Amino acid sequence: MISPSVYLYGGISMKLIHMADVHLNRMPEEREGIGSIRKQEIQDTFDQVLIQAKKEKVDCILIAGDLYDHPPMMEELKELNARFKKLSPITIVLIAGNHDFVEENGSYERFEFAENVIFLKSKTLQSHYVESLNTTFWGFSYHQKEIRESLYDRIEPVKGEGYHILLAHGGDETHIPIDYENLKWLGFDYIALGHIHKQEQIVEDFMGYSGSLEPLDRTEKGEHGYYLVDISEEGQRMTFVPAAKRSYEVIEVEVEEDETLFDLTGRIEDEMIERGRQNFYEIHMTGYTSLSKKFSFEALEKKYYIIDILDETMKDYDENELYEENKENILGMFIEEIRSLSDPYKEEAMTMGIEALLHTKVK
Amino acid sequence: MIIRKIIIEGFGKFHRTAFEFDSGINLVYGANEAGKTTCQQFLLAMLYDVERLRGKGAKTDSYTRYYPRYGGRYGGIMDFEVNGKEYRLQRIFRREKRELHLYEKETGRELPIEKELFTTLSFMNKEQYMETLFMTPNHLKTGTYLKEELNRYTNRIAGTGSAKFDALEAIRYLQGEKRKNSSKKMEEELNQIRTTLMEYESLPEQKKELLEEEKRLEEQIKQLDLEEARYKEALQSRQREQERKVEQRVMELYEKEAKAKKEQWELQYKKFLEEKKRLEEQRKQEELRLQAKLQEEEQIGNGLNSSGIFGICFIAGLFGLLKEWYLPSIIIWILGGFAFFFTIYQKKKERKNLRHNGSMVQLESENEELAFNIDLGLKEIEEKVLAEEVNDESIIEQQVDYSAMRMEIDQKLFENHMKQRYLLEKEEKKRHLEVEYQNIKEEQKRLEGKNHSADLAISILKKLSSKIYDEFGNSFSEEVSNIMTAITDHRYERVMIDEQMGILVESDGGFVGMESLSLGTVEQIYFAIRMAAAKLFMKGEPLPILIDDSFGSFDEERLGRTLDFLSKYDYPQIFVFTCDKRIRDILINQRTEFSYLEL
Repeated sequence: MISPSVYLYGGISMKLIHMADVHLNRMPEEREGIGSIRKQEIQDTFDQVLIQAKKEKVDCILIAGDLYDHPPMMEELKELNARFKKLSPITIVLIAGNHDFVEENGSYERFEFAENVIFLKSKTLQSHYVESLNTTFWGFSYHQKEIRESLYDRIEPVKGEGYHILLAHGGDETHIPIDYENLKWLGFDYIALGHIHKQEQIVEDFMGYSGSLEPLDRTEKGEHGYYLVDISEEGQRMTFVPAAKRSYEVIEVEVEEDETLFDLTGRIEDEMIERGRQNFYEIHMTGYTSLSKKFSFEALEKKYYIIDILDETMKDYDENELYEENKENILGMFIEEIRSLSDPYKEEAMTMGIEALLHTKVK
Repeated sequence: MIIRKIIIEGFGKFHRTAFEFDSGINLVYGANEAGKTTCQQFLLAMLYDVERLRGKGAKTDSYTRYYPRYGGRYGGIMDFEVNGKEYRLQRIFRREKRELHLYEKETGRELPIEKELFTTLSFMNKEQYMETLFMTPNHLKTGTYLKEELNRYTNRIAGTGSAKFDALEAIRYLQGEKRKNSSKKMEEELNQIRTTLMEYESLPEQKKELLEEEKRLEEQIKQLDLEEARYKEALQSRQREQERKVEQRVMELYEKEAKAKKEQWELQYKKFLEEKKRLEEQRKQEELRLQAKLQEEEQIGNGLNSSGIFGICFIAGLFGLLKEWYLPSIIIWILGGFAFFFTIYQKKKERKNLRHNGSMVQLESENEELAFNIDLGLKEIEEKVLAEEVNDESIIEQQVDYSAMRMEIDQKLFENHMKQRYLLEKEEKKRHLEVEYQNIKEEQKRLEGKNHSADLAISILKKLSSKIYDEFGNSFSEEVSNIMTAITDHRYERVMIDEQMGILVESDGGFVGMESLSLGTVEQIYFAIRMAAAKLFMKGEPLPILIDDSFGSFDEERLGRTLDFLSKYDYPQIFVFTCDKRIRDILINQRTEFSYLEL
């Protein structure tokens, strides 16, 4: 029995979900005090994707590695398997990544998944043909934390009828460097990548990183979710579906001269409320301020999740003007002297020296 | 300021002692241990209060040292003149009764004190005084304060226009910022993290061990299950064996008992069969008889059955009635009735016989019941046998408690899982620490950069500062040179002082450092520096110059010239404390005006 829908002219189409790097059990932003909450949110988002898969009646779910943040324990796999089993007849294809690698004597090694789960557990490339989908799934799993060889570059072109889908986890120096150009020509119908946490279609509608399901730290800005992929005789289409509950955002603020801390704080707060108070924020400040302004956002930091504050405001003086006015005294001499240097720290030294001298101005 | 008079109530060795002074040079002579130092300290105490230290210092501080030895209130009175006005100052140093009163002598009015005397009357603070005008042995060499004053002075001169900047102050400010950015704390944090991370190094090994243990334990459980199954089987087969034996016994017993009963029963059965037979015979005969009778009746009945007879009779009766043969008709009816009832009676009898046959059937079933009851007796025997067997040793052996063993292993597994989870937590912590380590390192780098910049700014400022000094600092060196020329009678005419208080003296065509000069000359130079500093830097009311035995290394000539210089200095008041009688003679010979006091 062929389960997917049959096109009018007899072609077979397949609908699948591609996700990766879920990192179940990680506790992000423990410093902000919400480590356990984020951990639960990661689990919830994952479950919701599974529910969505059932609603959409996809044919299979591809998990391209790092489902767990670490090699999972027996109990965790039992729970996972229960979920997978319930999704039947949807096929689930899984590989282990560098974080949840297959450990010697670990549970991944010993656990037996349900019938509808294909765990490409081997260290070397293996394939598994699913008759109901007329598709062969290819891939292999990590058995250690790092792999420096470009194992995917050694794959032979695939042949045989039906679709061929490759699951791959890697893409940097210490985790299987990948030659994407090479992969294009091996005859796969779709390549599901994992490891890079930022979603990206390397080759449009053919090969891409689904990115992590929920953003895991401040470097993971932008949208997070999974791909809904349609494969047919004509070709493929990848649609990104955002699924994360929170995001990391940057607020750029240009501080106005003489702006009070109160007004500035108000502006920033409005922005955070608009974008969502559940998100994490980095605040970048530019502009000109008076000399001794020090920014403190303690009140905001208590109410919202502020990860970092970057103060790049410039001090409010004109170096040239100062020089002209003080040529005869130490301030002018100082400016002149520093200008003549080639020391890499001269910029900062200039600012600090001027600030210090102005500080001692005798009226 | 001119100190007129002091009244020491209680201070060191002095008790209710008074001294009077004049303007100009006051020569105070006192032999060793006469109380010169005490007197000086008293003057200092009256001007600035007594130093009181806490903790360890309390034992040897001025307060303790000069506590009145011979009783009296720890304090005193000082009369002095400032700006043409006469004042009386009264102090009590005793901690519990600290007092400070200032009176205007003319009016007797007490004046409000703004914090301390020197702030109220605007003269230099204690540090300044002690580094300039208050010259006592061992304290002659100038300290850092003077150095700073010098720099401040030159910078003030160097600044033009309305804006004047203090480079020294700026340098100090930057150094303060540097101190705030101490990466020491970070280094400590980094060390801590490094140590903790080292503890975590064994984590992968521990994990490996735990996984191996888990695997082993699971194998053990599997083993246990197998053994248990085998054991159960063995138990079962033994039980079956047991049951078989029991059955056998039962059968034996049963056979024995049953045999006896069986004989009995067989006998009974035989009797019963005989009885049955007899009854059968009886029934058969009855049947035959009935049949015969029926046949008879039928024969009779063929001609006339009962109802026929009755009918004929009835009609005959009726006929009779019509013919008015009442009696015969009645008789016929009665006869008819009799015949009718008689046949009915016969039929009843037949039914009774049939019932008799029915009871035969009942008898049969009764016997079957009997047979059944014998079977029941079997059960009783079984129980009896079993009761016997229960005491048999072969069945009661050690029940191997597999469930207990399994629980033990489950417990171990549980612990293993707990340990694994604990490890995972540690791994998570490790990861967090590694991230934090990186963050701190980055922060450290940034701060180091900032400190580099600060250092650069500071070095430039210092460089410029000395440059400025070179241009403008001359005025100080000049003043010192002038004083030196005077007190050395042109022996040393030029002194060069840089902004670090580095001193060079021109001698025999070249400049030499202090180490090349005699002690006496060194003392003279410091004297000159102090005097120059007093003249150029100090603002506010000029305090009395106080010199004590600093001329220890001077010869007569030097002494004389210095004193001469002092007399020409035109200073309000100068105290010279000495234990050297020569000085007085020198002053007299030089015709220098001075007042004399002996302690």
